[in-house]
Amino acid sequence: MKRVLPLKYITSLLLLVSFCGFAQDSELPESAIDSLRQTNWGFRVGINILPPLVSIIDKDDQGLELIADYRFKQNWYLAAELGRESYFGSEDFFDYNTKGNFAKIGVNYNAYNNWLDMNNEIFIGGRYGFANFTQKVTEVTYYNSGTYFPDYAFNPQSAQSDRLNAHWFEMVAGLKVETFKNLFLGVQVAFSKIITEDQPEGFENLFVPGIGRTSVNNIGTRFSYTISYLIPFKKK
Amino acid sequence: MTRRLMAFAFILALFFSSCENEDICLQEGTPFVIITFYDKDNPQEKKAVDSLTVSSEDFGDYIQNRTTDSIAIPMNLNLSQTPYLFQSGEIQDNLVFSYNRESEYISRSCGFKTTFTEFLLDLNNPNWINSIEILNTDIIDEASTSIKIYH
Repeated sequence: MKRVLPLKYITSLLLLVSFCGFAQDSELPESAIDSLRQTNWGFRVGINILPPLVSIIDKDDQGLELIADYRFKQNWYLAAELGRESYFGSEDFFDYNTKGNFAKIGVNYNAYNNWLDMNNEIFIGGRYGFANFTQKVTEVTYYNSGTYFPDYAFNPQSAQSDRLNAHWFEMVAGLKVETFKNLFLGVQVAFSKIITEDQPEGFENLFVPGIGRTSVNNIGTRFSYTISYLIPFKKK
Repeated sequence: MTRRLMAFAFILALFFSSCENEDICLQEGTPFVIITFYDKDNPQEKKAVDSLTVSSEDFGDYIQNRTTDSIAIPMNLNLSQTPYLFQSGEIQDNLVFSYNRESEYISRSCGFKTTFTEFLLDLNNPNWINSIEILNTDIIDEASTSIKIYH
């Protein structure tokens, strides 16, 4: 056993040289190898650190996103995200503010073959998500005919839309790396496609909490950096 | 191994951070008002105005010394009426365009445009202009002539 353990600390370069070669030398019984492959299973909770970082740079934007997953099969995880966001968008001719809450639930599949008892993931997954939010146009400059007269800018008082919502499906891909025992750093990208939404009258949803800025085809791309902690239930 | 995954994550981050959509406004904005000049003696026939100058107080000339049978002029969106001075050669006429302004959402990249309802045109003590005819009281685009001026 002592001869095998240091193996997992050898750099990736050595890994390429040959894992098989070392394994054959070790002459360990299969059952011993299996016990070395055991990893912690349990409930993992964490946060997306991107929204707090963004709010340092841009103080108007506020966001909090909690993430959680639960491993229910060797390579399968139930996964969920929960959060709230307030976003100030600035387009060429108007500004707006969207704020609200969102939740997503789905599964992740770990497509990465871990070496011994490493517990890393390269995953793909799917989510169903929904959001409740309000959207307010804060300043408008009318798209004018020419430059002869000065632009007409004003502060609309009535352009607030309450109780908007959106439902969407999303594809996620990313990875999680166990950096310290049970502590994971991760990155994740999500592509969302809105299925149904409440649009404000005479306007449209430009930002959806949980999705981000939406494009013409109701598609959004969202990036997350995550830190999460695994509360181990069992070793398997 | 961990380092390799981190490197992969970093590259992934770079790739997707450049995906922001920068769309440019290509749609039509607030409409110009299209005016066509007709012959007062022969109302079916267009008739060009000789050396037409169109100006508005404080804003200078919009059209200068042009001989034309149709023009497109903007309205001042800050006010519910826009006075214009129409000058043919040395003869002047004062026209006051008045309207209600409505806002209409176009798109993310273009924002809002203004459309006009209850469009009216006042002509006091006409000199070279004989009469006016308003074809559209609701002006939402530049698809057709909204005002006919006979001279």
